[in-house]
Amino acid sequence: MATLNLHNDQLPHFEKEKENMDSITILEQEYHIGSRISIDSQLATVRFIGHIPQWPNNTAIGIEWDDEERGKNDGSLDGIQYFETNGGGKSGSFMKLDLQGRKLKKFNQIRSLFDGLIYQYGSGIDFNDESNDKKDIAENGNQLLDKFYVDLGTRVMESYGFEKLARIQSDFKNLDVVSMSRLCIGNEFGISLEKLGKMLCNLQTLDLGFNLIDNWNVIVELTAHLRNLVSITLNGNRFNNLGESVNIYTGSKIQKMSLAFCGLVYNDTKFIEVALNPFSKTVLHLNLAANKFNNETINLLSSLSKFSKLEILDLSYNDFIQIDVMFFKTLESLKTLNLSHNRIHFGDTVTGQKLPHITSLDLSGNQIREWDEIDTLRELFPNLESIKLIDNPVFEGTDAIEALDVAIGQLLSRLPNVTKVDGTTYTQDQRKNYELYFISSVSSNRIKYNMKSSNWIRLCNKHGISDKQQSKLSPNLHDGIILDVFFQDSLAFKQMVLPHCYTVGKLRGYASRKLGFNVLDFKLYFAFVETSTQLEVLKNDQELLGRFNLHDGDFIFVKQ
Amino acid sequence: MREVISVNVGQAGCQIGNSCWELYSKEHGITEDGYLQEGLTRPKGGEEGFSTFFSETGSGKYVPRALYVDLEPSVVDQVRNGRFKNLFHPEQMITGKEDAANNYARGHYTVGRALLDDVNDRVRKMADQCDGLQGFLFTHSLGGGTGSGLGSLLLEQFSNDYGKKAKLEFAVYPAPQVTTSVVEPYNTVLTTHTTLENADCTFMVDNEAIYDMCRKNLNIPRPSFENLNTLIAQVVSSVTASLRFDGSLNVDLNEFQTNLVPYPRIHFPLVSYAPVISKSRITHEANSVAEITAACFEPGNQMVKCDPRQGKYMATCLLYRGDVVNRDVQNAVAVSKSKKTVQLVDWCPTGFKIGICYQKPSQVRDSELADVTRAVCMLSNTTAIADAWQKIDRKFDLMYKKRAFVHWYVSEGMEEGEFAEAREDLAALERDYVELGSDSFPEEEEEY
Repeated sequence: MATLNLHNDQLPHFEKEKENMDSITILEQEYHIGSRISIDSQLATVRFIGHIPQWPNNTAIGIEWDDEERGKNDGSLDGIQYFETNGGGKSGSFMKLDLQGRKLKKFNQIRSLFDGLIYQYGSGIDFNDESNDKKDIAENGNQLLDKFYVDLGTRVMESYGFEKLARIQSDFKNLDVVSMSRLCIGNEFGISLEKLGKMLCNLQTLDLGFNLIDNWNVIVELTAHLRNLVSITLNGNRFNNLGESVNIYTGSKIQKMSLAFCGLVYNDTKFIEVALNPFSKTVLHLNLAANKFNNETINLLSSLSKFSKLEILDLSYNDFIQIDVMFFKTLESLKTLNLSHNRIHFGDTVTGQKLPHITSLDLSGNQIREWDEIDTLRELFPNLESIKLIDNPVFEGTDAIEALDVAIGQLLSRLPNVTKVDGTTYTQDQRKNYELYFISSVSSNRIKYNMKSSNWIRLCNKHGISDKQQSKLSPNLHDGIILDVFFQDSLAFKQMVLPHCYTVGKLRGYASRKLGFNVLDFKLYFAFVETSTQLEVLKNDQELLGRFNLHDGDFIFVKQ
Repeated sequence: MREVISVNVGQAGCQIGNSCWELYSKEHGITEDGYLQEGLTRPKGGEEGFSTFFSETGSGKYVPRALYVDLEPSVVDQVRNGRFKNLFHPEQMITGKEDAANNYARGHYTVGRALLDDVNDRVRKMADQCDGLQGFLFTHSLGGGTGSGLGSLLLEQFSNDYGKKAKLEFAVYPAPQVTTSVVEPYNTVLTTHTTLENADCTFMVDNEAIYDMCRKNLNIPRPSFENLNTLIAQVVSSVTASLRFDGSLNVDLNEFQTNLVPYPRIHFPLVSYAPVISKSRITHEANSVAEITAACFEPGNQMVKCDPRQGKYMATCLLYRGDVVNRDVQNAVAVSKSKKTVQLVDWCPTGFKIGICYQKPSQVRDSELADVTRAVCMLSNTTAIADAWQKIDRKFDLMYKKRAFVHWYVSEGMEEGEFAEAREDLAALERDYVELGSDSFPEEEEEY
């Protein structure tokens, strides 16, 4: 916050004397409905200019804040709706103008892009040097920082290299990174684009976050002229105006584009498609965090399928409640997906679909509650290598290392290809330990897990443990299992409660008494409810029934 | 030419060394096998700065001026067979066959001493290749047997052989979270006593602090050594950046050292680094110069757990990296200076010392740290760091009162008197810090 206030003090304020003009006209020259405005370094959009009865002698300007908690109303005052807000009941405000219709001091002046550049990096420019081509354009009263100096009272401050840094930076050709965030930069360039392109010919990374650019055309033209630019950050700008020339071929090399906090969901449905079109062939890394997308509005992003190189997509801090499989299927080159801090859970995700191209997934801060949802995750992302799941309800109470170990065991056992969990890489040896621990926990019923799932069988096979033997460890050996016993070829069956500790021989005797067969004349088979056609013989008479992993509802067949 | 030879001793030292060299290579545009990355005609950061840490062979290959020393081969074998096996020369790695078993005495007297001649030869060779050797940079742990024992032995030896050359240390301070043995307090006290006179400047890295940083700032609930080392490497890289990059823009580390070390024994600057921020949170942080500067004064960004608000600063150095502009730095420093919690001792005239390295920080592969365009590293000599010594001394006393585990050391030929001597030395160090923190002109009593 400290810098923000300092910027604020240094911003020149409007002091134009135009008392005779109608105040509304003055404002409309400066702003129109939909244009962006910065007040006390907070960004907002102009939604209304006019008179309201509360301020009979003044002009009011109605704005919608980007910070949705910053305002006072939803655009209505005493029952009259002056404008509509996107952001809800606390995002609108009316600002009063003084008697002459001038803006208040806290309205920050809009800079041109070039003024911003001079302000930020031009402190070493020698404006007296006639040959300096920046002289004519930088006349906005920039104070020249001759010497690097901070008043430390009686103390000495020693600094190294800062004067030289200023000189180096003032030759804009040396800049490869430019950060001009929160400088109230508007749609004007302030210099011809050709000159700007020449001046910043080595620029690779540009940050224009939280400025007042609202015309997408500015971005398209800028990227077309900065030939070496590969990364651009446009967070916090609201592009209300699509501009005209977005379909021209720009030949930009942008690989990384960040459009977080841009309120993209409020833009018109074609915006993303048209606006991002010039970049669809080059962008590898796209950041669309905090744009209020949800499962209903994800079709706004359908044009992303044209991004043939897109590898990293950031959709964190949106409002998704589940993963839209069909959408992510269309992003064929996507490898890394960040969906952290949404409200995603897998409670009712339809499985059967796969997203094999995604290898790295960030789901931290979502609403995953059940471990079974992780199994859904495995089916959905069969090739997942890295996952983040911290701050989900399922991880609650894992502050202690022991509890965390159990949780990591669950995760690693359920996700066979994952090597990295929450930023920590696990070796094969560690994985083995975790899996064995998981197997023993399940076998001793400390963790509930479906012992007929393919994953369980995979785990048991991997570690050479017979999945049937496992039940031997079952502590509740005397609990009964309810089995349907079929007698040879007939549909008649009898439900029996058999304890785990019954041997096959005992069952045989029971059956012989019931059917009147000789004990040696028939064979016993069993089948699981899921695979009822697949009969397996109950061979060894000394074997306990519990060892066959039978559960309630499974079948016993008696055949001669 | 101002060459620096890095010496990585023991398991922790070698692993940190690994992470550091991976990062250095990335920052200078060197591939995993020691050649220039495609499209580069010369290493990044200027020939002169670059050559302090790398040497060039006739075939255009670049070799780190580094030495790996360990008493047992397993960790160094990972380097020998790892991704960077072609970067190093096999002669740069020296291993014994028998480990130090967490015993300072084994590292310092018996097992370690057997390796000494070998190391001396290699270092002599490397030093001969230098035009103007500037000094040595040690990385080792204080708690382990090899790191503490052999580390201090080598420091002593180099002190004799290379008298005036600077000897800087990155020392890993033991932490209960990632502890390996009960005798860590013994090793720490013993090695500190031995190196106190020999090292010129020791940057301590407390595993507990790094661990907490990983958990809180990087959202890694269960940090592994790999996570810790990546973060430590980032800090080491920030400190050494001024040595590795060219130009008068970059301040010489020696100049900082002059300020940082007011007395030879008081050479333990507290290192803070910002921003430590995970990839998934990067969009939510502005990381302005003001924010990262303020973060440096937060205990959560310190490499050693102590409370500088309780102590006084003898010297404060800020090393900025990457995209910063004068105005922002001036404002940020002015704000920090006005903080009530930043108290400076009254006998030192310098308030802040500030430097800039134009090269922005890089990230190694798979790092959880976000890619940022600027960073700051603060080196401050504060009396609060005495906390760290107090903590370890208390643990030492608990065991030593009962002479527990002492026989392991005595059986390796160490005299028991060395324990008492070392402990005394540390007590004196603690007293020194208290004295430096007190005002030199006490307020006059109003009444007698």
